[in-house]
Amino acid sequence: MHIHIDHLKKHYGRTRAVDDVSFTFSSGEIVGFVGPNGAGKSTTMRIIATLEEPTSGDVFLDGISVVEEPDKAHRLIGYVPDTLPSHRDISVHEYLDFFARAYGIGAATRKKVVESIEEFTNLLGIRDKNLNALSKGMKNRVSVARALVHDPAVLIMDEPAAGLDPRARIELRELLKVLSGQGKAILISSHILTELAEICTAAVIIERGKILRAGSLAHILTADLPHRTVLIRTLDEPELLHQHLLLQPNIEAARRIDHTVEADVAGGEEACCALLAQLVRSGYRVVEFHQQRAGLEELFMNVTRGEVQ
Amino acid sequence: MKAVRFMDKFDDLLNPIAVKELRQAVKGRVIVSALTLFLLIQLSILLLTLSFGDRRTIEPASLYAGRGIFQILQNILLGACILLVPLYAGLRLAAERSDSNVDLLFISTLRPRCIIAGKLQASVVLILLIFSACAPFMTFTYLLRGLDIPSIVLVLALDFLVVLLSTQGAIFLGTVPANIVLKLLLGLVGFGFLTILFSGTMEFSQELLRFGLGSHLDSVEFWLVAGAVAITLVAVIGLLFTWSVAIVSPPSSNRALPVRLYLLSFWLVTGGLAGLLAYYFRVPIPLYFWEWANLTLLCAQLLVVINEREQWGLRVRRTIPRRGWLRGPLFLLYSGSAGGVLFTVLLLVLTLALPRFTLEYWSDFFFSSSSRFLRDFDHRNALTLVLIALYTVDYCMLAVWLRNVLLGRIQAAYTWVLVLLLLGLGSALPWPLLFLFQNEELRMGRTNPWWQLSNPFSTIYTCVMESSGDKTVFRDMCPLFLGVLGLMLLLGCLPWMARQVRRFRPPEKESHPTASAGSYAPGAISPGA
Repeated sequence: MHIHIDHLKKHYGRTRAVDDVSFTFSSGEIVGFVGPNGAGKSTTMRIIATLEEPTSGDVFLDGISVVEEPDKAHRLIGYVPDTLPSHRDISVHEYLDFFARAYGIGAATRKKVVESIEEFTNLLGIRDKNLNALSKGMKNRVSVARALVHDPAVLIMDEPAAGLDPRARIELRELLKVLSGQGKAILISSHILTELAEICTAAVIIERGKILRAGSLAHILTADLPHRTVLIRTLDEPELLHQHLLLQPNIEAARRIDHTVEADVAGGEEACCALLAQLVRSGYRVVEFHQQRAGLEELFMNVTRGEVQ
Repeated sequence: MKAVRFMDKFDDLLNPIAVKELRQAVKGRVIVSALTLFLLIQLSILLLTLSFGDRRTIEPASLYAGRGIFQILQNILLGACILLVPLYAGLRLAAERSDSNVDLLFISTLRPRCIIAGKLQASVVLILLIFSACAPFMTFTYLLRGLDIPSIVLVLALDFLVVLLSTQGAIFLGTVPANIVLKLLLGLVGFGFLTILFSGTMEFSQELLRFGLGSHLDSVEFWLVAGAVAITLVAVIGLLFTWSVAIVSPPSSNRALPVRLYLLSFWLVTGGLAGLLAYYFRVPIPLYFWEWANLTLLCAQLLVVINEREQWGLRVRRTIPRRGWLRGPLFLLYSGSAGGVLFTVLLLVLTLALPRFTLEYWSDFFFSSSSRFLRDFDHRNALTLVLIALYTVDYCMLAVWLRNVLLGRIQAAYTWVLVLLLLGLGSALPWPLLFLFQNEELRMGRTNPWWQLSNPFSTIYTCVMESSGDKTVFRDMCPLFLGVLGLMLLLGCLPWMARQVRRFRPPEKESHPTASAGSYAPGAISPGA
């Protein structure tokens, strides 16, 4: 399954909530959708989920347009909104059974489908509990189970981790990994960037409706950086190495941290490689040399300005 | 095995919303408690009435004992049904109408029609449950005197339709997206309607019971009137149903199309029915009912359509036909304010013109020489209808014109507010002006009616109720003036309409990526332009 977001625009009067957003992702990928509040994340996700119509552009799910063929798209998409289910006088099982009926799953298979989803999302123990009596974490699991009931190929999750306690977050993370392993394409937005970085294979950073960075996580965390930071440990005196590094032309800064030295190397990965070769040639007995990657949080702070429309 | 398969097939036929609603109703305490309470009250009142009631009417030996008790039971049944079921359905829907819950329904394969139908089906089951609880007591009244079986059946059928109508009305109010204040206001309006409906039905059914229906079952007149009442009630239920579906449909869909098609069918069916009744009974009264009902609907429709969108989203545009001759009529039926205005004004003109033409052309048939009163009533009725229609068109088009020409920043969705402001201003402004410039005449009650022209209430009263010599000219000229004004406003809005006509086109054909394109390698995430 290939999901292609194609020059998506959504304008509300003069406000450009989504401004020419394009990216592509595929089955098995977990894509983090990151941006400050009001950046256009939820609008983009709602358009993908067919809940809103773009001003222009389209989203294609294996060639099926969500604008033109929303009915076909509904069967391919599982949507987890940022709000939790709030129906009264209905149990977890009845709620899931209702959505299975709503997706047209026949009575002959519905029971098995709902039970397997309950088992998969660890809801069997609470299937007879009323929805309103559940905790946030449990409701969240119900919400995910509901989105999975028709076995969609794409999962769109709008801040599913918001307000969850650490245990529920870890459970959600594990669930997403399993789903990704099953070949589902997942687009997830969250403000908890450290957690996103742990599970995502790719990320899209958006602000004021425009994409600022997009690509595989390894790529966007290293691309466009003015320098690379490397951590070096040798069997020699650290102070000697520190002084030596400061004399090198492509070293912007160097800091001693206990028995190691941290250096900012101007340029890309070629420059790091050249530095290592130069140290070895100079007789340093290098035992550790690794590049420190910027975190998603750091990247987010660097590329966004925190502006809203 | 066959039985299981049959049950599975039957289960698949059930509306998911109805199943959910009924499950919730069974689980919730409201319905069970109310039903128990209802049975207890019914039993208690029956026992108390038989033990201590007015001997003249309730005594089993009395000729009217059955009718008396039946009316008491009907009061309880209708009261319970009209209050309980609509309130339950309406409040539940209003509470669930938070964005996320409805969104989840939209992205399933359920259609908006299925959602509303499910709510109505669940309510029908609850109504039948309450009616069935009442049936044994109702049957008991037949054993007493003063009542025949056809009367019981027909009154119960009428009650059922009225409860269904009130439930669909409550569902409609529940679908309206509103904040808590507006919801409370709508709740009050709904409660007012339910009270009127309750007392009206009780009065009507008491008359029916007094009249005794059993002896009229073989008369054509009876079935014509009964059929007309039933069809009208069902048509109104259908109209409310269509409106509810339109409200819960996604904004990007062509919401207006089913509403306008239904309105057109409603107009035609009820018009045909009214014509048939008028012809059969040789009286114009059914036509008057038809005119008033449709004029009210169309005026409300005009107030709604001026708030509609002025351009179409991709989803709707892709359904616009490429053939020009098909696009023309569809422009009137598709969502969109200009098309809506034209459609409504066209129907308004026909609603006013057709009965006038019929009554004028066949005046000898409808008005016998002795019915001078009816002719006078017909004239006043026609004048009232024309003035209401003209004022509605004038104020609505003035708001559209003002919004487009002077107040470009006002969103189309708030045009109705502008209409209400203009109406308020137009109704209030003449009074201070009269006070300043015609103080003496104002005190004497002899003001020139032209000063009140912007005030529809005063003008309609003057034209219809006052027939003194100096008011006659005003009465004759006023509709003409308002008509010319309406025409000028429509002409003033012509560029606005033309813009929408030009926009009403299918999009240019685009080439879409297909599944076989194979150009999307996993991980090929790339930013846009």
